Amino acid sequence: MSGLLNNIGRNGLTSKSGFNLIFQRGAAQITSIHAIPYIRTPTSTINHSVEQSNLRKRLLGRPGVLGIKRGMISWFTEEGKHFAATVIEIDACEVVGHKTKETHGYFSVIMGHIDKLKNFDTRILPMFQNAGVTPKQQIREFRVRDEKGLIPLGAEIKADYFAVGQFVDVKGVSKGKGFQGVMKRHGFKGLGASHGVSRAHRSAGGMGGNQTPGRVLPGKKMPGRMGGKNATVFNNEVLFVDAEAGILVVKGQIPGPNKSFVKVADAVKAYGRSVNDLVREAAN
Amino acid sequence: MLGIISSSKFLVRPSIITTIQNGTRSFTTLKKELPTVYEPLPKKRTGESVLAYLYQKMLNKYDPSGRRRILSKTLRAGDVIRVTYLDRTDVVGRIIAIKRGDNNVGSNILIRNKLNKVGVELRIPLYSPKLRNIEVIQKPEVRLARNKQYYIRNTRLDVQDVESSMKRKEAKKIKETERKDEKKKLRDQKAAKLAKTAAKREAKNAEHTSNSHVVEELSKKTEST
Amino acid sequence: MIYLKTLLNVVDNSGALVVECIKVLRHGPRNCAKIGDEITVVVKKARALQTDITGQSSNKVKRRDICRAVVVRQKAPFRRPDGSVVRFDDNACVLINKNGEPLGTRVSSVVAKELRELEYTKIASLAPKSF
Repeated sequence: MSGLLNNIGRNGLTSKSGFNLIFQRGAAQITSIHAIPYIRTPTSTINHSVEQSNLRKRLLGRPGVLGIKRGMISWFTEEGKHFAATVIEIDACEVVGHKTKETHGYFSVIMGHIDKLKNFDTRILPMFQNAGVTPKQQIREFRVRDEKGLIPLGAEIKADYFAVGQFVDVKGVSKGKGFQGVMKRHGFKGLGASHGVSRAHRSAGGMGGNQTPGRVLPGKKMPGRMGGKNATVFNNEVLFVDAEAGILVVKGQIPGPNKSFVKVADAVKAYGRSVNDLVREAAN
Repeated sequence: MLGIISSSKFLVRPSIITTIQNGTRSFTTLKKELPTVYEPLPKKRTGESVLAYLYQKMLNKYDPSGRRRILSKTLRAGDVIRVTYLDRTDVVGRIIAIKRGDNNVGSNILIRNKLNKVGVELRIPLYSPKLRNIEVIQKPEVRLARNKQYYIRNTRLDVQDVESSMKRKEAKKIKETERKDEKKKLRDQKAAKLAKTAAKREAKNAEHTSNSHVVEELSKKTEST
Repeated sequence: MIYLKTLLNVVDNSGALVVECIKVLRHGPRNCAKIGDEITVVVKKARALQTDITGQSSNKVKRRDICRAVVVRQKAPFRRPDGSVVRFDDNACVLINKNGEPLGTRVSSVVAKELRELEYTKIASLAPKSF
């Protein structure tokens, strides 16, 4: 018997009685000839990978535009309604470069605006030469979903890129407020105005536990620098565009002081799609 | 668009130093080409600032006749105005304050009135397309201090019911003119009577003593009286 | 800006003169009432009781009564969609029942135009003027 066992290989052995003996996981199994011994499962995807996260990302089909915040104005509609609006200047915004999946792993359009005629960095001049545009003061990148969104190099994008009535997202750097306390920075309530509160009317109060955990937990909201951070205002309606004059007027307010740089793009919440979304839509 | 303004080449610092025989040292220069720099795009709005350009455009749109622009300069706190809307409703009140935008359509007028003894205030956008007309009803003889007269609220300087006071004033004016007319009428009647009597006397005198200087003088005197 | 403890004038002939807000209805706990909002009030001051020939009083409410009211004027400036900003010199209300009908039969003073667009057309039409 022991001699028989020794002769059994990895692929099993046809016994004299006609059974297929397959030895897997070290144990003998008796299966019929019609049985499927195993199924090839698809290779598992790692969700925490760049590829998967790219598929999940809600991206726009086309890039946005760079602009300069110029100030706020009163705006009247045809029906006589009145509200505040912000003027954005679009000054010589041109396509400077591309990034593609082959070279960088994703598609994006590099844009520059405001012509810069002196003190330019010679290291990036070839990029402008390649695109056939003047050196630019500001260069920013807009990620797009696929190669259809890559606007040809050197194309100027004017204000009428956006239609009146559509929604846009405006990204900018919010006004710096300096070092601020918790009431202004995080909207804390502060302490009482009376009842024995002494010189701590605007303080934060408790910071956390006692002996346990014996420390202030990370992420505790505290006083500190406020503002001067990237901020996005979603779904601003476009009220007016003038391509020749380079003027874009959007409803409401946008981040940052006047003369600051902003990125204007189609509203992600209204028009953004991920590749997964597109696949799902196509299936339906 | 793509004219070349400069394709200058410049010398790059020597990077390879070669020693030549005879003990003299020499170097080769590496000429590196600078990239082409393209001409900038033509300036938009002929270099005018965006806001100034837009303000002008909007003012021309909402105030094509330029009448409101003149109003924003001529109106002052203390004037009584009537604002008529497109649907023919109107509001009357005394101007307390005018917020003048910097040559833009953000200007507005704050008017105050009293209706049923309750003070009401309305801030009206001057260039609103809903407005039909702004009419100055009355300008004060003596102006109060300050351009923004918020301090008059609930004091003895406060606005009274503008409309009824206007009516009262108008009624008074009408009465006065009526009285004047009546007086004039009376005077005219008196004069006519006198003239009549004078004429009669003259006729009598003419009958009695023709071509007498004395009578003529007399009649003249009566006429003058 | 009408919230707990705000005193309001009453501009109808229900008998109440001054009422105090004790609750802003259909609002968050921190929000205050504005024109056209319903509030619950306590009558703080009422007209003196006068009995007419039939022995009935003309007053619908008396002091300490709790009733509902709708705000018709407010001191805090508020904005209209056309960009104009309105402000009255006092806070005033009209007493109503639970169905939104006014308790009184007359409105004695000016009310805001907004009431007409809300479901208080009756109050707006009773008022001598709307602003």
